[in-house]
Amino acid sequence: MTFFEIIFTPLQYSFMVRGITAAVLTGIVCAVVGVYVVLRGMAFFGDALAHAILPGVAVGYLVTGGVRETLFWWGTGTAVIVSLAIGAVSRGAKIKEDTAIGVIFAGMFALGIAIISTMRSYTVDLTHFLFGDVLGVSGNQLITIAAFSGVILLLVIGFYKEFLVLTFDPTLAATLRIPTRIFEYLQLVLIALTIAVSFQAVGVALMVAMLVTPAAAAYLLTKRLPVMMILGAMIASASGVIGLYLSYYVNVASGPAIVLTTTLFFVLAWSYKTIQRRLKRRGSFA
Amino acid sequence: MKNLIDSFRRQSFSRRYAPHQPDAPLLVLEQVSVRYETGTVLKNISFDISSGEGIALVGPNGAGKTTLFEVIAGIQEPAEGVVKVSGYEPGGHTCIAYVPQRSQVDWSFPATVDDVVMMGRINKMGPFLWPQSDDWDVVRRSIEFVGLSDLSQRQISELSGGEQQRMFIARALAQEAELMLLDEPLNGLDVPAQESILTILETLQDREVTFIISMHDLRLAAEQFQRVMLLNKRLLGFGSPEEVFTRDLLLQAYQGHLHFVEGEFDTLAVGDSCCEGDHDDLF
Repeated sequence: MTFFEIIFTPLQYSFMVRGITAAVLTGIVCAVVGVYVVLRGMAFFGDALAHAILPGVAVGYLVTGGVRETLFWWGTGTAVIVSLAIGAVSRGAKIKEDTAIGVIFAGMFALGIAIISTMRSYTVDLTHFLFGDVLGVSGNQLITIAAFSGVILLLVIGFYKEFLVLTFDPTLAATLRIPTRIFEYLQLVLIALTIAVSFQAVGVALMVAMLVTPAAAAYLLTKRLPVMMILGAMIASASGVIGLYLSYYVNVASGPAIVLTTTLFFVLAWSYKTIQRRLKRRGSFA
Repeated sequence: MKNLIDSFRRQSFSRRYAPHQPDAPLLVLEQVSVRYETGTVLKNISFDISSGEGIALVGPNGAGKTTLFEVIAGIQEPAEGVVKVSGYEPGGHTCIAYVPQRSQVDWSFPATVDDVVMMGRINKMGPFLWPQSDDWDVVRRSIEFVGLSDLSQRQISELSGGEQQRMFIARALAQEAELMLLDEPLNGLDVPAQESILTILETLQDREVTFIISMHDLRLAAEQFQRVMLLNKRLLGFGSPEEVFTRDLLLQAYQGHLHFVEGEFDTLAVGDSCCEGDHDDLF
């Protein structure tokens, strides 16, 4: 098989083309929003929020009688409500934030599985919800994913400087009279929307990898925030493409294939950084 | 055309700030008290400061120095009392800069010196607008003022402690602050780094910038500043070092955690031993 055949054979199938487009789009959005998740130490929040949308999706699945197309809206609604709820609970109560997240996360996840377990096609659907089914993305779903990815990216670019200051130095944001609370909630909503957009591609269980891993790999390689976003988006979309080819040729499930590829990128970035630091240290002693 | 649209957006959308009353003192506090759940942090603080003054704020840990700064900056509401900056409440002012302690910042954040100093200007740009050439101009001049021009492209973790502190002063300058609140900027710095910061502060005073600097080293405060403020929840003294650093007032403030030596004044306490951190080298 020639190189061209390896590249183009899978593209004969329209589901592969749609899948690759969806994987690239969600990869870009996850990495860009994931930059804030990484810098603010919100990985656990992201993981929890992803799991917590499961009951919403399950109810939507039940109500519509198994129509996949509307699941996005159910997921989005649940994600936004849960993210704001976690924001409010951790602000008001005596409980530590990670405990509050843990409680809500496990409860919602259990509820989701309980609802799905009442369905006849329990295992198949649960697998798709947990680990994604990017090759099952329909044309309409792709349009929704693209539209929402656009909205998320516009918000990130439009409020770039506000989010930057809020992340680096909240006190400065307050003295500059930036409405910090509004932007904090907006950041939570952005993470929620990102999760809803990526649900179809990687599922709830692996979502945190898409939010954190490409951004973390990029973090190791750069000293500026915009570069971290662009580099993260490149790593994530490359992982989407490579992962789907792997899934086509090696016959691995698509979600895990994508996540494993980003993990490989992270390991490479980390090794590069570690070797570079060792060499520098040795150089300074010489 | 683009410039026209930009200037229109800047004028019509930039947030409105509190105006300044021309003859009001720069800063007035009247009977200000702050309480947290754990107890009273500040009690009945009253003083006023006029433009161009440089004041050292001293007091033991937990004396409420940072809280006092937060109240002045308008990011903490006092339980009682009034704060006025140029005649108006601080909430609308953006001419106040809080220069944080270095320990409050994530130094591995992916940003260069340029990026951090530019943060001081973000509310001068309109919403959705990116820095323009005049913003970059202000940033460049601010960085030059603190002597970091050669390091402006460095990632912030590559700076020394003194350079990091100077970068924050540059950010306050870029913010066009008239009142700077510097939270223990000399902590953990060696003597040359401390001196370079004190020199910068002197030059600031020439530019009519007012500042309050909190510090632990009483001797340095007495040597460098004409006016000092002694705080331990209450304002125990505010005036010249001779008036404020008396044995009596210092004992009230530090309650025995003090080293006294014979000095210029009757007895001079040189430092409090109850503060944490690695600044034993200062005493």
